[in-house]
Amino acid sequence: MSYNPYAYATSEQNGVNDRFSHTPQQQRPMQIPRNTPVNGQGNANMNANVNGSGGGFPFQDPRGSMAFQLGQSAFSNFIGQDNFNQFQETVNKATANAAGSQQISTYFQVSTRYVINKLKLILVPFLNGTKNWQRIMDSGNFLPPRDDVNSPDMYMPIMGLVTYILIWNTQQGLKGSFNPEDLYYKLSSTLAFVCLDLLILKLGLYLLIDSKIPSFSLVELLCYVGYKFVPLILAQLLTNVTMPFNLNILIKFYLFIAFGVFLLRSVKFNLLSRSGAEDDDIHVSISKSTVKKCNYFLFVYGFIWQNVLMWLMG
Amino acid sequence: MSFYNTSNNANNGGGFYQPSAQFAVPQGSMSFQNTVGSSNTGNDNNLGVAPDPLPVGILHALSTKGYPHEPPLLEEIGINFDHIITKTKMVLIPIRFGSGVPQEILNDSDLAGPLIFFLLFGLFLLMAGKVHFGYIYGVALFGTISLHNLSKLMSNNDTSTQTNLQFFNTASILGYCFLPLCFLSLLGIFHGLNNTTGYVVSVLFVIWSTWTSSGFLNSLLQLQNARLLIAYPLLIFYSVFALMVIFV
Repeated sequence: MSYNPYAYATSEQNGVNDRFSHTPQQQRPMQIPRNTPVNGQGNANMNANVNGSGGGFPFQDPRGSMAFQLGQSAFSNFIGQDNFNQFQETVNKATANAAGSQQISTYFQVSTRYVINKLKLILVPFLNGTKNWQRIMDSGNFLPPRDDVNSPDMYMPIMGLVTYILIWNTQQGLKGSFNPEDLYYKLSSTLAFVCLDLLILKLGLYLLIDSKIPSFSLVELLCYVGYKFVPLILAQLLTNVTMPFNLNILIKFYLFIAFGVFLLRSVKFNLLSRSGAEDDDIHVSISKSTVKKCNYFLFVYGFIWQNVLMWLMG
Repeated sequence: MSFYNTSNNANNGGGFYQPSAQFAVPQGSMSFQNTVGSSNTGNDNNLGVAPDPLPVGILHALSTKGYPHEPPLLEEIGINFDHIITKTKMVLIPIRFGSGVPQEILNDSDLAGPLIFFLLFGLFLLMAGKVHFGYIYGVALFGTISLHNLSKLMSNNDTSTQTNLQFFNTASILGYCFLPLCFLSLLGIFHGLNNTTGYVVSVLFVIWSTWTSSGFLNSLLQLQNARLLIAYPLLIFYSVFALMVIFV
């Protein structure tokens, strides 16, 4: 009985000794690499200072270089080399995002001739026939809007949006109730309508199209959604004009129908032609039911929903 | 040389103990600076000593002179009145664009003129009984940022000439070409513009601003077949300010 407590105490002491002996062994290898770079930097500092003393400004160079290296070593010691590498990698990734703006810039490569032809296409889509709605490819990539009238662009939607807001405020001013605050109000409400429209189109295509098939990007859908401002602006201009036989209502109705035709054909032909570029098996298996469903959805979206929305906004 | 050897030995000695190494480096730097300072004091030819000392005396202390080689204050701030006057003349006489815009004036992105013009616009609206300062700043900032981004995205038409469009260049151009709208608001003080004559005059002033600024931007961006496309958003930008002048 008296020997047992002494045995436990001895074993505990051994454990404590083992832990204590391990800690210095771990610390010593950590310290040696840290000291060596400091010494190297110190030597470099001394050499640089000796060389710099021959120059014209011995006061400024040593302070700047020593302060910079002290800061750098303190920074690396504080954060750690691995974290510093990760930080640099993050900065490089952020810098690489500039390539994304290059993709967005493609949708702004427009010319005057393209804009005129696009306006003609939106207002009179029947003259384009039923074969000329697909985008032109060149070495695996679509041509920019400057060279292909069927390619979507971001210039006309943005200009249409701003023109729509300007004309609405001008009409408010002519009525005698102009307020600069309405500029922001109309901008917010119009952007809300555009986001709702984009959400419906994206959701419909997402539910109908198989995820394997490459579909439109969000920017392209935004382009197609934004084209409705062209008929909306003309309809807005016709609101205050008094014409015989309710001709302004008929013209407005024609504009909305024409935009429905334009939207249906643009999205349908480019959507299915893009899916045709994939394997034949996928295309054959999907074409029967998916094409029919897409046609029905785009018809409902392009004619019924767009007309309702444009009557509300007009 | 002796100091170098001594400090080197100190660093080597401090290598075995990290805390003492941390304390050794500042001491070394301080002693090194002191030694260099003391050694340079005896050398009159060294440039470390101030080459142009300030003139002493009570008369010099009260005068406005500084160092002889110091640049003028306006040049140091960056305000160049010659460029401001030249740009203003270009805005007032748009026909001169046929001969081309000097590159030096295009690259000078000063904001003194634009700030004066915007404050003048707000002041004239205030004299006409309209307080729109907040909306002027908001629309100006929002429009300038939007137009800058749009111009930058559209300026990649020709990849051979990558023009580095700076934000302040765009802001400066838009601000200088705002001058005709200041004249419009000046007219608005004495005459109500909410009538047919006012509409026509406003449209003319907006077209004047748009033509001038599109000329500036076209020279800066070197666009091809896109002058009208650059001019259209500028037309909308200046039209919003014209709406503030016309309607109460």
